[in-house]
Amino acid sequence: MGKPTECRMTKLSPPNSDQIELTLFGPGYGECVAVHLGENRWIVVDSCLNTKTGNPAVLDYFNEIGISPQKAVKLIIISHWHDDHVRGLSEIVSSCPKASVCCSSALTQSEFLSHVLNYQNIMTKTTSSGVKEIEKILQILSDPSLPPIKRALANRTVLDLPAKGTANSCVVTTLSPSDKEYDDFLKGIAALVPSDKKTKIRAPSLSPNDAAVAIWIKTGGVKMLLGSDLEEKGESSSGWSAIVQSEERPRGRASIFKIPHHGSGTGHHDKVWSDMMIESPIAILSPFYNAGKMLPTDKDIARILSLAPKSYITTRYPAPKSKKSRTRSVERTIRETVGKMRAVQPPMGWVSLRNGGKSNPDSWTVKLSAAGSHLNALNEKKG
Amino acid sequence: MIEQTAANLTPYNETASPLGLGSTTQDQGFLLKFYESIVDDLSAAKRHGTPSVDTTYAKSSIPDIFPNKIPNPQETRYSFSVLQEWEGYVVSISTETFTARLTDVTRNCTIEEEEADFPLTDLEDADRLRISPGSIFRWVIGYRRSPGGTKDRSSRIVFRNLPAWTTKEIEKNRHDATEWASQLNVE
Repeated sequence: MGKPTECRMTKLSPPNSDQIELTLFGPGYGECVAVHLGENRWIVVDSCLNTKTGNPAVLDYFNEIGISPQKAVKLIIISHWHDDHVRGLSEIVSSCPKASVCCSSALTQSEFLSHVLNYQNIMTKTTSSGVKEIEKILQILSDPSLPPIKRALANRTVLDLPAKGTANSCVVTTLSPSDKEYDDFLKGIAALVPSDKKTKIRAPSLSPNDAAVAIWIKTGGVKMLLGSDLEEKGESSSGWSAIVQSEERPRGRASIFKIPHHGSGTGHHDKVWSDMMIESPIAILSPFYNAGKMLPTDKDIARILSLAPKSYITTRYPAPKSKKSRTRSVERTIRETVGKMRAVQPPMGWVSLRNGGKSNPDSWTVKLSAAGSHLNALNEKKG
Repeated sequence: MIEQTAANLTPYNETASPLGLGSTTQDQGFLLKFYESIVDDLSAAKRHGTPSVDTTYAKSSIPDIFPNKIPNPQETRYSFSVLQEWEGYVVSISTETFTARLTDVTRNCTIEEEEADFPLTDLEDADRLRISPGSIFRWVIGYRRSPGGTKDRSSRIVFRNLPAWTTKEIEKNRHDATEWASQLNVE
């Protein structure tokens, strides 16, 4: 695979009917992947907000390129349940009534639903409960007229599309969660059952994300691995170890890698790169900001670039200082109390990969939003 | 910014949903505690020679939130004028600070856009003991006026005593969840 062509987008257009596209959006209280499988057939993984408009980023994108999500989206995959990671996902689900929805089976079990009910009503309308999005989604999916929920499990085919027009056939396989991760997730949820007389709080997020759904996509000769937020725990029955060692997983090597868990060390596994990827694949990721800390770290950036010199990130900007202007008295009091306030998220960006269609499937063009960049730019910024 | 005194106190509007809160008994109680905490207390007032002091409540950027305690105009002494208010939730706690994400209530924001690190020493002792990730609080900045007319800037953090979970509610949710699971159409 040669070097991809890079360009900054000034005007967005839809992919050709035979082109494969993978676009990653983030950060924006989550991240989102949209994949075009040819002939206007799309899948969407998770959701984030366009921090400028407040809308789900992928719906703004579809609107920009003239795609009707009601007709085009065939599958929505949910790999997170907490509001901090999937803002706007309920709006995507309700905008795509014909799409199948796929998530970890654990999210449909009564233990998790009990958790949602416990935390949904924390008696404040200002702060999100932490389970607002997943609650809305599950309520939508309670409608019997909608397609049934597909369960994400290790090595399960969740979408199998025949060839159509200029598009190849396509198979989408979930690689996780494993049985152990399913059990661990429900145990983690059980530990969050509130006790009698405890003051209500916002639902805490679980870490690691045992509901993470890693995805393998094969269409024609193109293979892509979407790593979600799957982390490695060093156990053979969970995380990336379970996937790499599985004899039932799809074979072949991917040329496109959505790097797991924002490039963190906990999302890394050497054998994913050596056994599941071609040499020097194209890698994409979005950063993550929490409590002033950022992923990927400098060490993560160096590691990723050594494995994939062609790596791109959705935004090269750190979370800036809050730019809200207030009166001098208020600004002074803020400085005296907390010093500086940070913006929770930098402006959302995106990275879009499109191949050369059926005639040139291994030739990729990388398109970047104003904020997106080659991963090297983060090193240059800090240098 | 409007300073509210007893003379022009707006009656409490039971149907209002102020500050993003439902007009529940718990919310009224919270607001009462919240504004009381930022006005000088009764003992301070007594030191000034007033036999009793009815607190007055400042009007925030969102109107019609006053509890039913209408103060005696003769005895009004203290007031607080809100300049800026946030609702926040705790993201993480370290040895000296806690990090929180904040929604700007003054500007009617609906999403938490800002984040800050607060010193734990700024909290009341009771709040320091029970703070945890997910705890929700209000942060208000404003001017506090004493009976003598002196004015000083004040910053207060008050953790919300949201209704507690009860065994009955948890059990009901468990039952409802079983029913809900049976209704989901899973392949």
